[in-house]
Amino acid sequence: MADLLNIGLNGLLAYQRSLSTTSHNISNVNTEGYRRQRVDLSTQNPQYTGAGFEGSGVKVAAVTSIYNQFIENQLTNNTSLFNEQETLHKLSSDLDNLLADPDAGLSPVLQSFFKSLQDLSTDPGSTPVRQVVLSEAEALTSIFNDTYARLENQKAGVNAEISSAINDINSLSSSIASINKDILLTSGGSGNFPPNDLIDQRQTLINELAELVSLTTTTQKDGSVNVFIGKGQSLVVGTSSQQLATSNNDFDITKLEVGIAVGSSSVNISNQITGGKLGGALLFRNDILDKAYNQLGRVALTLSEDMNAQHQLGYDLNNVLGGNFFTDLTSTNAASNANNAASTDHVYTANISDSNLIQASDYRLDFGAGNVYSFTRLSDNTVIGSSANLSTLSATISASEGFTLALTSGTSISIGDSFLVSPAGKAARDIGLALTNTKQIAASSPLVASRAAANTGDARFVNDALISNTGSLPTAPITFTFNSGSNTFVASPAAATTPAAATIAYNPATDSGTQYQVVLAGVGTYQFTVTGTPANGDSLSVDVNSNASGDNRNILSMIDLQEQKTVANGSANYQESFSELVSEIGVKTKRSEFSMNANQVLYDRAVSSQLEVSGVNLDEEAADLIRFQQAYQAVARIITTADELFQTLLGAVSR
Amino acid sequence: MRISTSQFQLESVRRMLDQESRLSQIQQKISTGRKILSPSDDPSGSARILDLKQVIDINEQYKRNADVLESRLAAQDVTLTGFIDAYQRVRELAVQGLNDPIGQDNRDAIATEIREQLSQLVSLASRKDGNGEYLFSGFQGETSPVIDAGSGSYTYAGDQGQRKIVIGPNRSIEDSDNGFDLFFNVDNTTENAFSAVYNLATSLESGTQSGTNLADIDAVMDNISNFRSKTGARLNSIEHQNTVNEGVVVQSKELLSDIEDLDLAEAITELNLRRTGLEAAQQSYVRVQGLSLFNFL
Repeated sequence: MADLLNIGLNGLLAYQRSLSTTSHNISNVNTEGYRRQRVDLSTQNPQYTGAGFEGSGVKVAAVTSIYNQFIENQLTNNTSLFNEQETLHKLSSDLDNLLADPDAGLSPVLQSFFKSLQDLSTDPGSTPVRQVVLSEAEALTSIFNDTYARLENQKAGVNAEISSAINDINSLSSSIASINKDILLTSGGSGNFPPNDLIDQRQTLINELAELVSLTTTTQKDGSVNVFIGKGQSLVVGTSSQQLATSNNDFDITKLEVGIAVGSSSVNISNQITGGKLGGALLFRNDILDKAYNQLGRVALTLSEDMNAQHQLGYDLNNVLGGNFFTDLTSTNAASNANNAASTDHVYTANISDSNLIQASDYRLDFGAGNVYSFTRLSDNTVIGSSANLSTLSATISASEGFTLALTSGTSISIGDSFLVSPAGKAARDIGLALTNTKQIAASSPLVASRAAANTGDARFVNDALISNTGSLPTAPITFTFNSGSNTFVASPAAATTPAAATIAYNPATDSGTQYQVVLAGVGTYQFTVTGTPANGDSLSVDVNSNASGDNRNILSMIDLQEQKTVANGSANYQESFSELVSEIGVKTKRSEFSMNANQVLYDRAVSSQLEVSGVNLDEEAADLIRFQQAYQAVARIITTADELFQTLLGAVSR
Repeated sequence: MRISTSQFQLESVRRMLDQESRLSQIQQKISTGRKILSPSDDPSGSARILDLKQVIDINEQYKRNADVLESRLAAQDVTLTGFIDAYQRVRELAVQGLNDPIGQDNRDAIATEIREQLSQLVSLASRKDGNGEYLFSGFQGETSPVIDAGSGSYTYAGDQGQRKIVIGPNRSIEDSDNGFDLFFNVDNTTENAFSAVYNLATSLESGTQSGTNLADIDAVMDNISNFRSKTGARLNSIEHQNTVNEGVVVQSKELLSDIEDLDLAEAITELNLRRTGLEAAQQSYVRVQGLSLFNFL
């Protein structure tokens, strides 16, 4: 009977525990990260009697929470991947929208600028039309500046994302470490009866951490969990956590990187970080934003270099040769690595030698063993050249990359130093209008050809232009007189041309429409086409084209640049080059959207699988409630029965 | 399959949100009328839009250029016609004056009218365009082309430049001709368009008129007529090029519309489809959500 009472008591306790666990489940139906718990019942140790083992009731073996570690890990991984792609997509679609705004983007302003030049070509002397050209050029430079500023905003946004992610990671990793500690304390380090609710909380924190960065976990025997990121950088080990910190990019202090403290110094681990919001932000910066700077800059740089070169071949209303149209973007200084030796003071300058070859990339100059310079294009990590002689290297760079590299100041450099060269990266920031008044627009060509009134033939010089100039112009007209005996034009005065008294072979019968070039001494190369039949002694003279308010020849050459494929080694014009940037970012945004959606599906599926196993189902709990209540009631009957048996016994004895 | 209560909630809500986001996207497309809301919707299409807009802009600009050119060439045409008319009158007068019996008094009267015509000719040659630029001074648009130094000496003050105006891809047309070619460098005579007339009047006044005077007048008229027909040819070319350019604009606009404009009928069908989808998701959620064993306890 004592056994019966004991069995009943054990049963009551067991079902009380079962009922309270079911209630715990019901109460936490909406608690995030809560995993349903079950009371594991087992038989009490049986008692040995002469007739063999006799059962002695039920006992609570354990209260366990129900989960599948494989599914939990999958959820953690998918959380990181999904958050990475979501952040990448969020940041890239911002950039995508900003660049393609049909009303505020670069394209309409670029077109307006060239339209104003077209208008000027039909009325080259007009001050109001010239004013429009200057205003449109100003608008064009501001749109480049504004777009650059927006990229800077995006960069600042990435910086903010990095620092806030690092703050969150630090607070989460200390929380995980402290829960590890609580778990050790409550379970006494045995790991046998884990505190389920604390483990759920820790798993929730780990998933929150996974939203920020990809991680791996290992569970120790004592029940604590270690967390690692990157290439095995430990974030949480047992009860202690490692703090991350922001650090500056070696070449660019406006760029934040992820650092981890190693001893007294901080090590940059940005390139090891993947996944989560942090990984997404870094991916966006490396893959999209940094390239956008160079691609946008390349359009600005090529436009400015081309326009300036052509404008300098023209002649303005002040009767002087044209100057720079846009501010000169030819020279850029290389940035010195923050880790370079303290004594290093070398300054390297890149000078554009052929803007058409400029690529949308940064470059790194390394000074290595044996005092050898090596130069790497960073967009595809191609080594352009290496040499101990900087000018040899510079010639190699110039041939394929369109700029030269020279040491402009400094006396000291150390092995291992490096420098970052970005010929186009800041061009969109620096471009501006160089002209200050309407008369400075060099619409005309510096020289004009005329036939002598006495000519009896009809020879003309047409389509003439000065295609290179040294900055000076002829001081007196240069006359080309035709000799029909030798079929040549001979230039005079003799000293005006190089070689002296240049002759041009022109056979009127076959050569009409042929283009010629003559080097004018101290002036430059004059190019012209001869048409018609000159009589013997006919002369044409070439003179400075002063006060030519009606001449539009140089404007026509500038207009031609709009549709010429001068960007990226002859592959695109300005508009196309900008469209390429827009479509490239569009493609990457699209890809990130696909990838985000795919990861969303995987993430959702992982959440569902996790809930499928570990989530509370109220119907199930209601059924359990009934089941355990009935069991409890039945067990209570055992006590009653024991009591009745006891009473029966007592009654029998007292008689 | 086991399903937990919050999983059921989560999935139902997720399905509704998904329908709502699709609905909002199609709604946004309908309200803007655009197929492409951001370049990532159609990256190559977006780049194509930018490029097509440039093509349209450039061709519309060609039209503007052609309009300016057309007005200047029309002014040249009218001026040269006036010039020829005046010359025609001078030639009639010359023929009369060369007729021996008319007497010196009559010749003086004729000479007076010829001088009238001469000042008209100088004024025509000094004509300005709508922007106040001299039509016939070459590049020297602010310099009056004809200098009358007196005693029948006329010199050209402009230059021999002639600008070209771009009215199509690789297509440029010469603007107004310069005074040197028109009036001063006349084939078959050593005189210019003004000295020929001046000399005629002087010869008539002094009674030394001859067939040479008439030949000079004819040479100038031939030269001007020649340039007038060239002007006509240029005006025709402009007309032709305008038609070509308009064709390009129309075609590009059609392409642009294909790429960026929304097919409304299709979009509204999709909108209805999405709405039905959302309603179904909401209704099924409401009907199933109320089921619970606790209702029966």
